[in-house]
Amino acid sequence: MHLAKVELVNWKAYVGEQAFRFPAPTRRKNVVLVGAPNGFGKTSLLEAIAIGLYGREGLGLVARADSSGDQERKRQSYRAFLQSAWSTQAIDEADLLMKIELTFEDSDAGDDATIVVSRSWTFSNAGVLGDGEELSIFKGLKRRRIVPGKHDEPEDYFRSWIARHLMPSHLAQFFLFDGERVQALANRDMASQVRMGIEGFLGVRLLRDLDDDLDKYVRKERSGIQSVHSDTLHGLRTRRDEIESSLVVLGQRATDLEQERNLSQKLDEDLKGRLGSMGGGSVASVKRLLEQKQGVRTTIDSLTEKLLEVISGDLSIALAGRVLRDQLLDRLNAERKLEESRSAMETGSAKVERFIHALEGAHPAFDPSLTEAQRTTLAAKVRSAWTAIWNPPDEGCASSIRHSSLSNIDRSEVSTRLGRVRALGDRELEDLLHRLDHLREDESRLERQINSLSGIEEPLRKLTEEFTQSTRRTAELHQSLEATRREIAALQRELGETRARLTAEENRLELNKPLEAKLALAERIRELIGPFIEEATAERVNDIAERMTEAFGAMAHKSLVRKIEISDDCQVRLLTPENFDVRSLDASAGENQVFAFALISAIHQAAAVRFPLIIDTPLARLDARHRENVLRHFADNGGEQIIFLSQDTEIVREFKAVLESRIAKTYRIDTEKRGRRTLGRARLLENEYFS
Amino acid sequence: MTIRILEGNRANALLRTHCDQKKVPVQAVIRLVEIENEHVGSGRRHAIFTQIDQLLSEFTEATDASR
Repeated sequence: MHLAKVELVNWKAYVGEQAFRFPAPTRRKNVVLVGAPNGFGKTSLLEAIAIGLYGREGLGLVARADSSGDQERKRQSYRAFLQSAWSTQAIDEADLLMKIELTFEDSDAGDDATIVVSRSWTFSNAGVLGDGEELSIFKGLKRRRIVPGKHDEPEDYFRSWIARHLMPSHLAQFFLFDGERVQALANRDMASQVRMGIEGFLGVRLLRDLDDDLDKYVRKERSGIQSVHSDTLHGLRTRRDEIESSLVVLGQRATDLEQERNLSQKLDEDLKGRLGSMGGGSVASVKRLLEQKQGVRTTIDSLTEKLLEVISGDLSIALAGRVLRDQLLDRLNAERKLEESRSAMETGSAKVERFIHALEGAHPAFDPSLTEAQRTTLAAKVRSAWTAIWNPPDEGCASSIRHSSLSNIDRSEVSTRLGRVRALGDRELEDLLHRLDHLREDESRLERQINSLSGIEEPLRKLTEEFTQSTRRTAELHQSLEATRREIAALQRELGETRARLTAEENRLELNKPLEAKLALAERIRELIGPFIEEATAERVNDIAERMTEAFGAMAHKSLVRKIEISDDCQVRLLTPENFDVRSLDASAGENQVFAFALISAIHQAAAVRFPLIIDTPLARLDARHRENVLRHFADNGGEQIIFLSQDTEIVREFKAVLESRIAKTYRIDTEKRGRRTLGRARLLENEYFS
Repeated sequence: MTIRILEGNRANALLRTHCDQKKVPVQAVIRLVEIENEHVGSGRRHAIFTQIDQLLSEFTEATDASR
C-alpha cells in the first residue's frame, strides 16, 4: 500500500487546490524526496496526512498541536488547530472550504484496492470554523462509498475501518514522524510505547479484544440463566439420603411402639376384667368410674394429637398474618405466569430459525428475488418481531423470578397450602383448648372419686393401682407412637419437597448444559489467550531484538555495541562485549535518534507492514557519517515507500547521492508572497529539488 | 489486519500446545480471531456476540456428538 496522492485545499500555506502525486514505488525506486526550507509547508504536509487519516486522534502525531489533557481540552485543541490551519489567504478569496484528501493504492492488488480518505471543513464568511467535519471514504476505481451500518456510530466505524484497512492510529507514530521528535522513543520511560508498537504490529491487540469480547459474552449469558450450583445439588441429595435413613429408623420404632401399646392395652383389658370379677357395689362403682376415666383419657389424647397436628402443621404460617400470606400468594401466581410465558417463548424461539429458513424457500418466491442484504434484513426483522411479541410480558406476569429455587409445581403446592391455612380459623383453636380444659377437670374429678372408693379394701386398692399404672403406661405408649407417626409424616412431607426440588434442579442443570458447555469453552479459551500472548510475543521480541542489533550496527558508527536485548517489559539494553549497557551512559541527541531509528526499522522488518514511511526532517541531529548510514539503511530496508521531507541543509549533495538510484520522484516547495500578507503561498514544483 | 502473532510454524505449534492443555479445538480459536477481525465499528457488538455464540455452539455440539 503506498500513498499515491495528497490533495490539499486551503490547508495552511497550500492555498486553493494543490496536489502531490507520488508514483507507484518499485523494488529499486521507492524513495520520494520533498524539499523545502523551514516555514514553506513541509511539516504542514506531514500534519495534513496525520489529520487526514485520523482527525482528532491525529493530533498526537502532530508536533505543533496540544494533544494533552482531557477529551474536552482535546476537542477544543483540535478545533483551535483546524481554525489556525485554514489558510488566511482563502478568506481574501472567499473560499470557505478546507479539505485534505489522501489516495492510497496497492500495486499488487490492483485498482479495486484504491482507498480515498477525504476530510473537509467549512468556514463562515467571518472565517470561523463551522460545526462538524465531513469524512468520506471511498474504495475502488469506481469510488464506492464506505457507509457505516445502521447500528454504527460513524466516527467509531470510520476509525475502525481505517485501522483495519490502512493503519491504526496508535501505531502511526512508527510511520509518520518528525525525525527529531522520534527521539522520545529512545527515552527509558518509553517502554510502554515500545511494547504497544510491538504488540500492535503483531496483532496482539486483536487477541486482547477477543479476550474482552469473550468475557462480555460469558457475563451476559450467565446473567440470563439460573445457575445450578453443585453445592445446592449436593446439599439436596445429602438431605434426601438423611431423611430416607431416618424414615427407616422411625418406621421400625413405630412398629415396636405399636406392638408394646397393643400388649399394654391387652393388659388394661385383663385388669379391667379382673376388677369386674371382684363383685360388690363399691367395686362396681370403681370399675364404672375407671371406664369413664379411660374414656376421658382417650378423648384427651385424641384432642391433644389434633392440637399438636395443628401446631406442627400450619399454625406458624397462619401466625404470619393474612396480608403477608395474600401477598405471597399473588407473587407466586405472577411468577408462575412469567415462567409459563418464558417457557412458551423458549419453545417458540427454537423454531424461529426454522421459520426464517422455511420463509426463504416458501412459495410464492420473492419477485424479484431478494439480495443477500435484504434476506439478512428480513431475517433480522422476523427475529426482532418474535422478540417484540414477548415484550412487555403478559398482564399479571411478575417482572422477575424472586423464588428461583421453586418450580411451577412447587408454586402450585405452596398456593394450595396457603389456601388451606386461610380456612384455619382462630375459633377452631379456642374450641380445642376449651374442650381440653374441661376434659382434664373431668379426669381429675373421676380420679378423686376412684381414690375415695378404692380405699375400702386392700386387694381392690392394689388392683386399682395396677390398673391405673397400666392405663397410664398404655397412654404414654400411645402418645409416643403418635408422636413418632407425626415425625414420620413431617419427614415424608419434607422428603417429597426435597425430591421435587432436586428434580427441578437436575432438570435445570440438564437444560443449562448446552449453554454451560459454551461458557466453559469460552472461559478455557480466555485462559489460554494471556499465556499464549506472553510466550508468542517473547519469541517475536527476540526476533525484533536481533533485527534491531543489525539495524543499529548498520546505522551507528560506534562499534562497541555487541548485542541489543529487549526484556519482557520492553526495556531495551545496548550491550557491549562485556555485557555493559551503554544506555546507562549519557547518549547524545544524535545517538538517541539512531537508537529510535533502529527500533522503528526493526519493528517494520519484523512486522512487514505495508504502509508508507513518512519522515520529516530526518537528519537534523545527525553528523555526516550517521546521515549516510541512516539514509542508506532506510532506503534499503524502510519498506515499500519512503517519503523524506527535507530541509535545504539535510538531504543534499553527498547525502542525496546516497539515495540517488532509489529516488522515484522529487518535489520542491517554493513560496510566493501576495499583497500585504507576510505568509507565503506554497507553490509545488514537481520533479525539482534543491540544486 | 494481519495477525502476525499467529503466523508461522512456531506460533502454530505454540498455539496448539496451549489449546491441548486447555482442551480447546485450535480451529475454534482461529475462527474466533477471524470473527473478531471481520467486525468493525460500534455496530459490531450486535453481530459479534451472535457469531461468537454460534461458533461456540458448533464446537460444543461437535464435542457432544463425538462422546
